[in-house]
Amino acid sequence: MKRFSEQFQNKAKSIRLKAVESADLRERVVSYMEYHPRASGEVKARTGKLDSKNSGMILISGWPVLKWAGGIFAGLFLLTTYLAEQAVPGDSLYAVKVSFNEEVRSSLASTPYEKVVWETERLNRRIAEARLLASEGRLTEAAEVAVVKAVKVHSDNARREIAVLKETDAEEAVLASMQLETSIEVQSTSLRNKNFAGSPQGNSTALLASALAESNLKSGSAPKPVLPSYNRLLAHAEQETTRAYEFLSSVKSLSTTAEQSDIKRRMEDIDRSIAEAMTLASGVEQDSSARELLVLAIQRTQRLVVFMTNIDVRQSVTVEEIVPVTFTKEERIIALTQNAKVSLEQVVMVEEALGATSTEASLTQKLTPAILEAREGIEVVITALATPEYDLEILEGTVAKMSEVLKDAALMLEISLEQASTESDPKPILLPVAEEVRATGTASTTQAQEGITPAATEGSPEIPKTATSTPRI
Amino acid sequence: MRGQNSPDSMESHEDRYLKAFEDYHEALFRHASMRVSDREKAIDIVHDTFTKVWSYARSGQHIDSYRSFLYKVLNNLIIDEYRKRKEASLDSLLAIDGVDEGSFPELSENTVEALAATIDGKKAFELIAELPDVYREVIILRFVDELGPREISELIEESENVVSVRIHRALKMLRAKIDSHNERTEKNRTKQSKT
Repeated sequence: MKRFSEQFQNKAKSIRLKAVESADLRERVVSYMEYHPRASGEVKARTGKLDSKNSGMILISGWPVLKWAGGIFAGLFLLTTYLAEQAVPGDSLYAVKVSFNEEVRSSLASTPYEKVVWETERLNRRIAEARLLASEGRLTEAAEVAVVKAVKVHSDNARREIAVLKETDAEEAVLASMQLETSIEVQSTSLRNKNFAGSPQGNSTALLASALAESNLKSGSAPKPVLPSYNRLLAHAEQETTRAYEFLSSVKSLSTTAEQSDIKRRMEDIDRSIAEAMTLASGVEQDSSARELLVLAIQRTQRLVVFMTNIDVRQSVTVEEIVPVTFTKEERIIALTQNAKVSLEQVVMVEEALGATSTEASLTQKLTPAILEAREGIEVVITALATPEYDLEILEGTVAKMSEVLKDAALMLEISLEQASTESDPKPILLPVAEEVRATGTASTTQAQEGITPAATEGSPEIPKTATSTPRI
Repeated sequence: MRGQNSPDSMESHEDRYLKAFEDYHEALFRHASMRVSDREKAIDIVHDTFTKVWSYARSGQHIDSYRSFLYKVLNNLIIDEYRKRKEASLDSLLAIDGVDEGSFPELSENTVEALAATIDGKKAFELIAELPDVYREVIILRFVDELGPREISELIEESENVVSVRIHRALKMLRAKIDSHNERTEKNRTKQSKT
């Protein structure tokens, strides 16, 4: 018997489910279970029937009552969670928003990267709440301290997740860190911006701005991470740009054509950068330059996404401050030609002022060599522009430098360089030719249009115009 | 085996159900696979078994022993499958045999053991598919799923005596099939050596 039993059983044990079949079967069964959850109300109703031996009325009416009660409860629950999303600190539903809604969403983020993205989103939410309270004059000192604390908690949580991610996937950790830092940077810029005034009774968000700036500084002082591989960066850049285009298309109906074209222009710049990186990457030696370009493209895309998705950020900064326009080579040539012409006219104005009888001899003596140098420098640029080959950056630098010399001279001579300009006259186009110019943000499109109209020469491509106002999407 | 209105929490119902899946799905598949001789069909039957059991559990019913309950549902589904295939029902099989299984009260577990000792388990396994399902069922329940006569009797809703008789007859059938198989093999071998 034992022998038969053993032999028979050993043979039977060879009949097994494959791992895939077993997993598939489990999935089907669990899915069924999930789609047919055990209804607590049903159980309670049955229990009610059994327990209420002496109350026939309850037996008859209990189930419908419970059904209605369940429906009302579910409706109230959904309504509460929905309303809680609009709550700000001090509202009765704020605790539901932070401790329930957001915690539920936190639990849905399964990977460390998703967790970083969500903690970043929570950080953005806290700042938006503070702004709203400030604009309504409701941001008390205590409330601001609470927001600062919450911001710190979220940024610490995100950094902790990044540290965890670093252990398993260092490249993903760099990308996650980029996401967090970009968001903090944009929020910090927008809070610092003096244009943000809110309503007349608005409170200051200085404490929050300082806290963010400090956080930004802390991350900036961290050792520079090793950049992810080219392919990883390229994939991430594609992901981020797709996200940005999706946001752009989703806000189409809510924004003006000018606002859309402002953002589209930046997207085109980013696409161009990515294409440039791809060209660079074809040469082995250029791999690190390509990666750096991609990092910049990703950061600019993320800034643009933060800009598009945060109404408060849009109200306090211009898109140009967050993502300055990157001019194409053709645009730079047109602008340089224009600026050189304007500078030459300014040289003539300064020379005329120097030749005037009222000008002191000592001043004339002091300024003449500088003006001569400016004239020569600008003439060299104009001549070089007529040749097929030249270094655009050097020429731009020369014109910028000469322009500064002329401004100083005009200041000393107490004349205005714009006096002679008429409406039809060409005016200089401000391009971010030098890093310091870009850093101070003086090269904004808005400014470019305030006093300066890009005058395209006949047959030359026209410099795209951008919106002068802050986009409201 | 099961009752109504458990005091268990909703979570414990789900946990117990999932644990039962982990513990028994492989054994149920093996059983179904041997009974229906169709791997895909066996997987479907096991799936249906679990969904039916969940439907029962979610309606607020309490299940004391998942093992017995699962086998019971599985067995019913296998019978349904046979009915679909329009094979002979249990009754007709018994009618063909012309034997009242309850007429062998002397057949005990000991006699079953003694008979089994005379059979080659490996060959029996290969030939089990040739047995009518009612016999295949008890053999599998007894020797693969290792259920005792009482458990089998509860499962197939027959008396323990009938179960013992059926196992006994199944073993005899298997032995006869093995002998006949051996004979055929022997004849073939002789033929081949002559040619």
